Amino acid sequence: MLVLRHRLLQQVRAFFDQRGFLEVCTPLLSQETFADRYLEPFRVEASPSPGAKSPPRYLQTSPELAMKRIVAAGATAIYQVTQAFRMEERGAFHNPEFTILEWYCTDHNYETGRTFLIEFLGAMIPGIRSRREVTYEELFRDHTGVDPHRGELARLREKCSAFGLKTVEERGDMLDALMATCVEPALDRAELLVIRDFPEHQAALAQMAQIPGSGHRVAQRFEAYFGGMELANGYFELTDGTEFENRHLANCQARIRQGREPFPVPARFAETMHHGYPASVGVALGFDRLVMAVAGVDSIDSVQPFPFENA
Amino acid sequence: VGTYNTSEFRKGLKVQIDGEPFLMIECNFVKPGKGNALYKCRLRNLVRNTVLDRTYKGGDTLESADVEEVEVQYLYRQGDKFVFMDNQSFEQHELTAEQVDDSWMYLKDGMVCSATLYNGMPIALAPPNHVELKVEYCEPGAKGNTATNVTKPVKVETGGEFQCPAFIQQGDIIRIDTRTGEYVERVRG
Repeated sequence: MLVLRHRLLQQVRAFFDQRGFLEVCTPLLSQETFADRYLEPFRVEASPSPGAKSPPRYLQTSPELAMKRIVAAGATAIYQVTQAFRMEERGAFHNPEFTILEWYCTDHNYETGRTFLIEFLGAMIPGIRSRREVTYEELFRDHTGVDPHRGELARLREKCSAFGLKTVEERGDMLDALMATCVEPALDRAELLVIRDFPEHQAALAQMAQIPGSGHRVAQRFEAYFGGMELANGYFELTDGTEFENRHLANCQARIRQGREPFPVPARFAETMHHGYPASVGVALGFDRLVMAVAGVDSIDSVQPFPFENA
Repeated sequence: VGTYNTSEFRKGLKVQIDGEPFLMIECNFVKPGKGNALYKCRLRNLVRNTVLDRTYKGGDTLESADVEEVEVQYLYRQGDKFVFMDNQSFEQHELTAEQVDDSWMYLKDGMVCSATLYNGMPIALAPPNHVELKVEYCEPGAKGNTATNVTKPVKVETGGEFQCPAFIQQGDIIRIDTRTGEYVERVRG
C-alpha cells in the first residue's frame, strides 16, 4: 500500500506538472479559518516564544484560504498535496487527519473545470467502467421521487423518518440525510458519477446561478463519486468579498444555534477578496480515498500507515 | 436510564428504542458533502431477533438498555415454561418456549446457561457452546461403516434430534456444538 500511495503521488504530480500547474506549499497552522456549518477545526496553542500569549491558531480543514490568497496575488494554476485536519470525523471513509489534493485554475470555468476533473480521475483510476454527469435535482428525484429544491418539507420529513431520522428539521439537513441513506448506497460503484448544481444550502464558497425558467438558484458546485465514495468536490469560485463575509457570518449564526463556536471573519483573506478575485475553479480531492478507489479497499485505515488511534 | 450520544456509538452497544432492547451490530459514520455528520446503524432486536436499520444525526442520543448477562441453572420444564435459577441471587427466572427457542434440545437438569435479562426480566437464553448428550435411540449403523460423511438422525435424552455419523449407537455420549446444532465428536461409546 505504501508503494501504491507513492506511485499515485508521483502520477498526481506528473499530471499537474505536465499541464503547467505550479505546486505550492502553504502553512498548516493559520490564524484564520472559514466557518463551515459542520466542519470542526483543531485549535492549537500557538506561542511564538516562551511565555508569550497569543490567540490560538487553527490546523487547516483544507488549504483553501491560503491557496486562494496565492490565486488573488496573480497565480493562474496551482496545486498542492498536503495534510488537512477535521475534528469529530472518524469512520470507514474518514480519519481526522487526512491527505488532501487541491487545485485552482483561472483558465477553467464551471464546465471545463468538470471536464478537467473527469480527465484527471480517468488518468488515475484504471477501474472506471462508465462515466455519467447528472444534476443534483435529477439524481435526487430519481432515487427519492422528491424535488430537492421545491419539494414539500413534509414529504422530505416523511422520507427521512422512514430511515429513522426523526430529529432532522431543516431542508438542507434533510437533503444531506437522504443523500446518505437513500441515494449514495444505490450508486453504481464502478461508475464515475459527477453531480452538479447543488442546492443553495450546500453552496459553501461556490457562485450561485439562476436556473433558466425555474425561479430557483443553484450552487455552481460539483462532486465526483466512485466506488461508493465521494472523491472530490469542485466549485466555480465565489469572487465577491462582501458575499464571502455574509456567508461566513450566516454560517457562524448557524454554528451558534448548534452550540458550536463561531469564528472571526478571516480578515486577511477577506481583504484580498475585496481587492478583486479572478473567476476560477477550485477542486478538493481526498487523496486517501483516491488510493482506496485504485486499490479497491473499503477502509481508510487500509491506506494510511498510522490511523488516528495509532498515530 | 443513561443515554449514549452519537459520539459514543459503537458496535456492541445495548440501547433501547420504543421500549425494546437492541444490540448495535454495525455503526458507520458518513458525512455527505460537508454536511451534518450521520451515523448509519444496524441494530438487532434482542427480544425478537429482528434487524433494524436506523440513521442518526450527530448529537442525537439513544437510551441505554438495562441488559445484563447472568449465569443460570436449568431446573425443570413446566408446560410451556422453562424454569431456571440465578446462580448469584438464587432467584428463579421463567422463560417461555418461544424465548428458549431451539435451545430446549440441549437442556439437561442442572445445566449452567447464560440468560439475558432486560429490566431484570429474562428475554433470551444461551446454553454452553458445547454440550454432551446421551443417545437414546437411533437406527443401528451398517457394520464397519466408520465414515463420518454418512449421517443419520439420532434422538438424544432431551428429546432433541441431531444428524450424526452412521457409527453412533444407542447409549453413546455425543458432543454437539449448540451454536450450529452440529455433531462434534463421540465422547464415550
